[in-house]
Amino acid sequence: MTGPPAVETRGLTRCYGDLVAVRDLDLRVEVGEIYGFLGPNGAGKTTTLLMLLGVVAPSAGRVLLWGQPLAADPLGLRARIGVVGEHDYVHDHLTGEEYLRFFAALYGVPDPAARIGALLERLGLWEFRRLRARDYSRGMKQKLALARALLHRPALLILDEPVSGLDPQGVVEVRRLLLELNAAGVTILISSHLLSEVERTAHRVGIMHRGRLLRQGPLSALRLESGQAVEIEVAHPAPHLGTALAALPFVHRVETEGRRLVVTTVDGEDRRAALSRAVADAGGVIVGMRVRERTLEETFLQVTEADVDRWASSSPDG
Amino acid sequence: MGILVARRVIPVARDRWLRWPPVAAMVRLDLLTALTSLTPYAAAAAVLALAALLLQNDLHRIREDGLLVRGEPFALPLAAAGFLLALVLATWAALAVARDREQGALELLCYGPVSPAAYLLARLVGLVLLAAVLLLVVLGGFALLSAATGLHLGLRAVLVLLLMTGPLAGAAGVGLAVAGAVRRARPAVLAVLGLALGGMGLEVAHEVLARLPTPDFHVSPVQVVRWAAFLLSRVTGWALPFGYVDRLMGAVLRGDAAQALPAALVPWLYAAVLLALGTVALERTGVRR
Repeated sequence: MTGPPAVETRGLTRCYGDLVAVRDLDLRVEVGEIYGFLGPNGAGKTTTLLMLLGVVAPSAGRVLLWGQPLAADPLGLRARIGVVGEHDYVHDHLTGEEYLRFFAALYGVPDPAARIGALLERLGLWEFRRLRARDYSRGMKQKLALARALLHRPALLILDEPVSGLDPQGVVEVRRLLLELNAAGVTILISSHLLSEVERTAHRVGIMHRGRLLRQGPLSALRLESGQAVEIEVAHPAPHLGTALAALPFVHRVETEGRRLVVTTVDGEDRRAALSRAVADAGGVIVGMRVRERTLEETFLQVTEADVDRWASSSPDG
Repeated sequence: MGILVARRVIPVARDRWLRWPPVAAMVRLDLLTALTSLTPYAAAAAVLALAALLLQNDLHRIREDGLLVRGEPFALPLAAAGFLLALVLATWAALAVARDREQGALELLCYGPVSPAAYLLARLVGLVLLAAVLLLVVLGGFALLSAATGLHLGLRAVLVLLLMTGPLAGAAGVGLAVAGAVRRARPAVLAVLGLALGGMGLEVAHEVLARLPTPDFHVSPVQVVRWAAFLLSRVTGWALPFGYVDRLMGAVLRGDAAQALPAALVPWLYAAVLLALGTVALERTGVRR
């Protein structure tokens, strides 16, 4: 029997006056998974994360962490969480080492010197440990924030844009670290705009738009559900071919790239036979055809561009 | 019964509001930050400079006017120290909390095992310890001034200075309560300064009005204004920390033990009430930047 999820929200809602920032959110992050929390700016992701931490009070609904209501033991539950915020403040009059020592004392970390040393080493900040944080680059501050979030060996990591400001090498280092932590059993909730990063790390994703959770599920299921991308190479491309394909009921979008037509379908059904018939009927000659797995970016764009009410009226579980 | 209630209340308080290790860590950081900055020393220097000026004036009067005995030569410098340090601590407290909120440091702390109550308590404890350090510095300065001027620094004056931590805790509490209610740094500081200057202005107005002669008719406007000023100054005397400094000084310098004990203890209660009000205000206005 599996235990309760690390994070569960039931009907979570937050209103700011007339504006509903988060509407009736049922989020579920299982223990031991990496969950990618996606959405455009203003979708309500940060508000949701702040409600999970009890920093913003919900207007309605509940937050359960490991099956316990947050309100029952807020300090105890928060002590098991490591957080890197979107605009993480670093006490910049302290050196990197002093900063971590302060948070180690705050969380009651045993043997703080060893833990701090190990994290600084792991994140490539050891040689900068005696430098004041105000002299750190943005990427170094981001790594310091990550080190701070990991100090107390949290069971759940909540990361809001964890790789923003990092150089490509830093991005790879952080990605490796997150995968290692996850392999060691740490549950990770990542909110990010960098879809390629989420795609490389997350087991499941949730897509938020205008305060609603439109889709939630494993990446593969979401990709399949949101349609396929079929690349058709034709001998003599003509504009009317694209128009003919776009008129088909199961086609979401047609893009022309030279001799290639990229047809995005609205579902995961294999539509190759119907597409080849349509091309032939329109007088086209097919040279090749292949089904390409949709990227998370394509899935994300399709979900968020669609009418928010249409998606919200269906079940969010993918 | 008390034990049973404590057994029920303490775990709930620990889970929801307060854990000591984070408070201790925040106190250490606050104290370290304060003691390695210039402001507290500048405040102590200003207090000592003012005290030196007042004592010099006394010496001048002794020489020029032939005044032979001065009951407690350090009474006025003590009052000045109390008012100035109270103002500095209230402003410091308001600025520190408002800046933490503006910069996002408060939000960051509240991601972890820190509640608004624990945060404000840590701030208060840090400020009380800072006040104790400042009072010791001022005491050292007063001892030097006493040696330099030959004016006697009495035991009662030393006691006032040591007991001044209570009213200064109250002053810090005012700053915390204001910063809990006002989100931005500048308005918070202006509110504290406004309260302090308003309170002092009211006290001066009360003193001036008390000295005005009352015209000889039944309901004099001067009398009405005097009553109003009296009532208001009674309120501010309990609502603002300066009244507590005044009462403590009066009781201890008079050697009135029956008045001195409550005058020393009540400011701590006042600080605790302000801490509770500050916590409620901070929870209402939120810890977010």
